[in-house]
Amino acid sequence: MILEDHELERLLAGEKAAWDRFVARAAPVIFGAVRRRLEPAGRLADAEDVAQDVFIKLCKTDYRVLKTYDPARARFSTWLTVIASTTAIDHLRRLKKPADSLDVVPEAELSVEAKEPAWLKIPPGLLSPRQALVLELLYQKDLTPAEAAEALGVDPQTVRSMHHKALTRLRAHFSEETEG
Amino acid sequence: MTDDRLEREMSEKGETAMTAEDRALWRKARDSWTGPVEVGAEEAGEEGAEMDPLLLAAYLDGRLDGEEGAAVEARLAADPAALDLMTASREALAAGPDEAVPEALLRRAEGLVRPAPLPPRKGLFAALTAAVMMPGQAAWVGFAAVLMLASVAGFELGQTGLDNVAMVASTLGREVTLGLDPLAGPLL
Repeated sequence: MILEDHELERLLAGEKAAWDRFVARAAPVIFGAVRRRLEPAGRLADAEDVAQDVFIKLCKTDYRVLKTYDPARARFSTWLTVIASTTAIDHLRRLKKPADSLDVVPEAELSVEAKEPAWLKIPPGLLSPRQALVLELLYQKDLTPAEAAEALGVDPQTVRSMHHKALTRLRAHFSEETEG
Repeated sequence: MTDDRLEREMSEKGETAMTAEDRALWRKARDSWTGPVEVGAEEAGEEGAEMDPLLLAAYLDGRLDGEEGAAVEARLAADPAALDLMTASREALAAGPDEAVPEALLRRAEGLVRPAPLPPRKGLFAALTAAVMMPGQAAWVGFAAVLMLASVAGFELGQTGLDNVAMVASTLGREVTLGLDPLAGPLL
């Protein structure tokens, strides 16, 4: 466990020793999440600085971000991983400037949008959120049904079933549009 | 993953196979639903708002109830940035912590928080101690002030000593003069 409840209290009280213990335990989680996101984009060299940015984010303004963690809602390591992944994604997004020529940007970095991509406006009642999510994971993220099942925390059979039903609805929807 | 491989995997399980046509159908749907189409997605939340890290963490931990979980999945289906964050976090959690953390990172991160300052001391002794313990330039200023005070005090003491000697010498001289001059009157 990265942080016991009583240690969180000491940390938020500004105890230096508690911070040092926290750094030692949290660094492997933070650095791992950051490295895993930056490496495929060819920015492994930035991992140390981005991990430091995560620590800054956690402690600045009297631990404002750290104070938003609630042990009753999620595990600390999961929450920390989300914070670290967000910071890494933001870093890649900042690196993508519109003025950059495509010739000078590494190919791997092109997979990261310069700004947040637009949302999908799915017609209400057409697909359930999970059906749409399954199609996104399979076709947009190129996951296998097993990987999609793991991402959703469900059985692979559920993913296959969702996929089948979603496509049936989609085909009907577009054939109606064409006929109409 | 290629459509062929996916199709084979799905076929083996007796499910409808995924084909290039299915992929094209989903792409077509996405394209028609991206942009200023004002339909649905109300439960997904407000566009542009950052996804709450704690809510996503709770979803990843499987701690959300049906309604909350469905709301998060609606957001993930509608918001590609949130989906990117979810898959990246899920991958990192599956891979586990990276034990090979650079030592420099640990030192830099530790340095972000400094030890709390010592409580202030009270009394004259504490003030004098603090003056002696002053760091850097402040110590030199203190030292210079002490030196100046010592000089002034020394000068004053010296001046007083000289005045006393002059007075004694003057008195002695008068007595001598009285003793040597027979024409002079009585001293008292």
